[in-house]
Amino acid sequence: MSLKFLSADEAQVQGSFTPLLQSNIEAELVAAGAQIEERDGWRVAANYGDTIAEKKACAESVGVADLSSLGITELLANPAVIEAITTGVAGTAAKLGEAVFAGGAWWCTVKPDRVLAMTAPGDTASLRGRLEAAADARSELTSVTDLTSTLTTFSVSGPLARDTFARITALDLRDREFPLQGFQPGSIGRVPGLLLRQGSDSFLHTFGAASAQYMWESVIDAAEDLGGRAVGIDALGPLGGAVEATTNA
Amino acid sequence: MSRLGPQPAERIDRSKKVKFKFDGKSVSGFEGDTIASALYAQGQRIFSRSFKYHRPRGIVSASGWTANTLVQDGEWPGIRATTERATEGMQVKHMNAWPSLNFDVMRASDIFGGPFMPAGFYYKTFIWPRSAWPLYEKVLRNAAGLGVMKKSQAHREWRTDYRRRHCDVLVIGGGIAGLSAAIAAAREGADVVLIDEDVEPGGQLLWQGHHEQARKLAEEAKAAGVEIMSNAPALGYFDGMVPVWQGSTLHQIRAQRHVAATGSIEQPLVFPNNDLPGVMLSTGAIKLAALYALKPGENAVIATTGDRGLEAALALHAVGVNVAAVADLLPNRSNELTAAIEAAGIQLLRGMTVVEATGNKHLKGCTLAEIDAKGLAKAGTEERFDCDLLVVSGGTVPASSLMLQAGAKAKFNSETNCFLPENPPPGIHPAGAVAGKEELDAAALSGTLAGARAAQECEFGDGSAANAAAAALEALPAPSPAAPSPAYQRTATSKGKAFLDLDEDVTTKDMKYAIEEGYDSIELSKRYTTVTMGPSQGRISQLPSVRMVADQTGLSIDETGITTARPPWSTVPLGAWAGRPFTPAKRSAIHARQRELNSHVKWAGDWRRAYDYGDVKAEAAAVHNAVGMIDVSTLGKMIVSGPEAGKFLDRMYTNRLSDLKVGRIRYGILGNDAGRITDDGTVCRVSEDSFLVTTTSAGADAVERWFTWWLAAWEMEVHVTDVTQGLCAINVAGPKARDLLGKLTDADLTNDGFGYLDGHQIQIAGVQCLAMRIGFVGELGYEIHYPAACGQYLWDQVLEAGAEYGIKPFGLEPQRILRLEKAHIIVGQDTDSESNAYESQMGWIVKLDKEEDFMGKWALERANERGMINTLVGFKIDGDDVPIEGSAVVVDGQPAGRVTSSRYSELLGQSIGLAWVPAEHGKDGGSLHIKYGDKSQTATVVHGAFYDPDQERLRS
Repeated sequence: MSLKFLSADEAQVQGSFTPLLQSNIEAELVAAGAQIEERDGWRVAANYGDTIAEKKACAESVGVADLSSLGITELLANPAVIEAITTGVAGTAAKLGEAVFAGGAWWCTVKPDRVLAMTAPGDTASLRGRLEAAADARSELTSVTDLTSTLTTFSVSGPLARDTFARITALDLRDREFPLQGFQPGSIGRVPGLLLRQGSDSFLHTFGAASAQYMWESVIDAAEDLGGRAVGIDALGPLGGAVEATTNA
Repeated sequence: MSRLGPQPAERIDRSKKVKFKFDGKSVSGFEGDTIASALYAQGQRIFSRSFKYHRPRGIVSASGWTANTLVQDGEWPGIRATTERATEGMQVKHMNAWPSLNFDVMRASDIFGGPFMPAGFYYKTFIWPRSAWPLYEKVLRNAAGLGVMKKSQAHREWRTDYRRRHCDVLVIGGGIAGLSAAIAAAREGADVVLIDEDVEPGGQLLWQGHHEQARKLAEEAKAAGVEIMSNAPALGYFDGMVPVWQGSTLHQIRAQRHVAATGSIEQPLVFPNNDLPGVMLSTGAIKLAALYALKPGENAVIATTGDRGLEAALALHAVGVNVAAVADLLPNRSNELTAAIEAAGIQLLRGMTVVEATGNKHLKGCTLAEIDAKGLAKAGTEERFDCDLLVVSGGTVPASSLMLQAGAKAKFNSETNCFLPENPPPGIHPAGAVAGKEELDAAALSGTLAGARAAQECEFGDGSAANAAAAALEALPAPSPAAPSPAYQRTATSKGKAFLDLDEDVTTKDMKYAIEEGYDSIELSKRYTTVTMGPSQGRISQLPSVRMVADQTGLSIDETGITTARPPWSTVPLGAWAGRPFTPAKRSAIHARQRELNSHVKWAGDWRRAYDYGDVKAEAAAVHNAVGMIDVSTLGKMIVSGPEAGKFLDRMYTNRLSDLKVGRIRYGILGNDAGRITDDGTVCRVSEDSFLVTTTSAGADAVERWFTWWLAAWEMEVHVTDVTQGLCAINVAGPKARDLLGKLTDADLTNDGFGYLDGHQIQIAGVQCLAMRIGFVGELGYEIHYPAACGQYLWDQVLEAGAEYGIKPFGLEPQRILRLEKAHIIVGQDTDSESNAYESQMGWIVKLDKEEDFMGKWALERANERGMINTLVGFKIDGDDVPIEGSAVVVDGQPAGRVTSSRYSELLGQSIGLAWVPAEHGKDGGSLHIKYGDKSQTATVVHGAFYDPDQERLRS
């Protein structure tokens, strides 16, 4: 199956044409003071002019970053096939309600027969390739689809991250109910979303890309009211986590 | 000045002064003072004028249980002076009096208008003439004096937020029972939140000489991990979710278990002039003295039905108030309190109560007497006392509203003389006074029991703590009895008004009148008199009004019952309920660019879309004459893949799709079991086992759910992935479209290489795209699907490349004209829940001979056999007078159909549209009569497209 038209990273320089990959909300980020830089083929909000203050926000209040460039690959298959493929590709498999970080990706089980792999932009194509190869080798129906452009992800990090979400969602994010590496779907800001707790105070919030502007306005509004701010990816660790956050399975 | 020396439990910080203005005059208080306590300290006794009669009103409860102390703070009306902290620079004004609090001309309504203004008088008086009601309303509203709102809506708006909190146990109420419950639950390991409406937890302990115990308990609770929220009243109970208002935030607290420790509310006595400033509940008098170091009066008389009044007498005596007499309605009470009163040399009058208060703007004296069962003073027993403070205590009622909202039933308890909530729903544990455990020891133990049980139900603890508390509670002695109060008490010659409800100025006479008029149940009389409907929501008026109804109807109090408990239990601004507005909006990845191009953006379903770019005619003309581009990213898009994908689509659509060749496209309609059209779109076979299915913009979610539901039922080897938001889609259309795209791609765009209804994956300006040659707008066109991350980039490239051809971006409105010229339908606009393919003139797309059974086949077979009853046809009208959408199609003077779409086509020089008409009136070339407003027009029926019916331009 060839569905290259779904993948932004299939864009190539063609003569005088140099495609740019960018966030749906680049205009909003720029209006908020973002310094846009090219990283791994994407135009990203690297910082908002003061990386130290942005890191401080993530450490002391809450920082919100647009991670639209985060690669997201969907794997659909029966649970046994999913376990076999993810174990083969990443050496591990995530249970329902949790995510595991392995092989440079967060493996998030949305349903027993649906897993999302979240990767750094530069790793997305190669991971997709490995998954497609693994899928092709199976006799059972297995689908690999690039959802990078379909879903947008925000990083919400800092001690007030939970309070930020408490303004926009009724999800129970207490430690006991949503432990480290917890992953769950839910309504966030009245939009279907997926939430991954990748660090003690660090969350990845993923949702439909068409809602990105609305969600940015909603999350930033809540964060700023609590003393937080927009931050660039330079204030964050790998995959948008707090600097110390990402754990290895 | 009324300020006492330092009191052990006082809340004020005497080292920090707070200055503010009241009616323009400077007021000086201390940090911790409320507006009312600071004013009281400076001698202010009248705080407002009453709602209807404009009688002077003062502090009653010092707890915000009446509307007596509502003031205006700057531009904010309705502030409770007895609970709102005084802050530096406040500009406080009185409400509901003119020209001043001391002299209010509307007092005339009390002095002269009383007999003419019974309950419900305005329902009857102001009904005629009806046209004058707006004027009456304005006058009445001004007379009622509800404060002054900010002039403009913009200035009335302020930020409120929601905050969600989950916990194991929510304790509502921070008195001794609540604190004990919270500690017990937290110590068992539960996650506990305690909410309390006061500035600090402790409840009555704080002003009854047990403040140290209160603060110690609060510390213990915090140490046990309890989150304590102060200044945080609970507003209601919604299936386990309790909204709590604090500051400008509405906390939605969801707990597994609840402890209702909402305490009790002291009740007044009902007697003539019981509203005079200087008549206070014992709670109010003691709070003023204990918390704010205020001497509530110089000479006091106490009238009580229970221990509370006795305690108040001793407390006031202790701070130097001369207590002239204590009237205890219970004739034979003898306990430690009565002994202490007598030991203090205070006159204790057993079996007596207050039957009248006197004074004009303030209390000057009262009469005590023995009363009969109906409350009438026994002749010869009256004793007159001069006093400036009359402390009354008519017992207490549990603050049970939240429990009743949760489903508990109120039952009158003759021992406690109040309604107690019974049979609370599972998961709600009453504690303290609301459970009938008013005494301190009992309240604490019942709290511990409730907290431990709640924790145990959340699987914390082994139940031993609860069992121990239950045993200790059982061993406690019975509480001191309270004397039953009559409905109202008076002398035979009393003339003053006796108030049941201070908020609404409802008197005993009003209630009698209502019952005589037939409003003889508590629910009916409530609505007629508005008793209990004021800002304090019946806190101190419900039991008196119930007693009054019972007295007048001859029913028992239990039979009379109480009114339905409804949220909000505490009054809050409307903004509290509204919270922060969330209006989810979807936008395409190109949206920002379209804004830069001055598009007019409107809602289209849940999307924000460009309706036009300022010149609808020019945009449509560009498509016909050169080239135009529209963002159609909102179309639903799904990848349907798997070995049975074609077979699955055959079952879902009315036509055959499994035989579609790779790289080819077919239009399809989706139907339901009844054969009615639910959606439409194109299906492109991208590879042998995968299809890109497009749907209408509004139908994307529903179609995805529809597909998923049937897949689950049929267990077919098919996967569906919704990529609506991941793919941008632009439609580049017009005679120059091919030339334009040729500048951006090396792909073969000739008719031979890329014919009509072909769908090819090609690279355009370096971006991998699925280009589909289809034509909703009727010209040579390419619908290009590509990753949203490249959305803006490719849009820019096409615009730039199209500049030499005069490309124009076009919006939804020109698109609607263009598609109407082709008579292309919009599902949901031109069809409704009754429309099938045959009647919609799309019988050609129903393949009843398909191998696969398909959705709605049976119904469509029947429809085909039956023939058309109504039909969707095109119509045209000469000229530019366009009938509005929804206009009636009239046959023999009767409405027989309707216009679903209509526009003026510049290209055709005619008004065109689609309409449902009776089948016999839908023949090509026939006439239709369309009526809209006062106009009526004759239209000509047109079958097929108005423009390019042979599709030559589309296929060119």
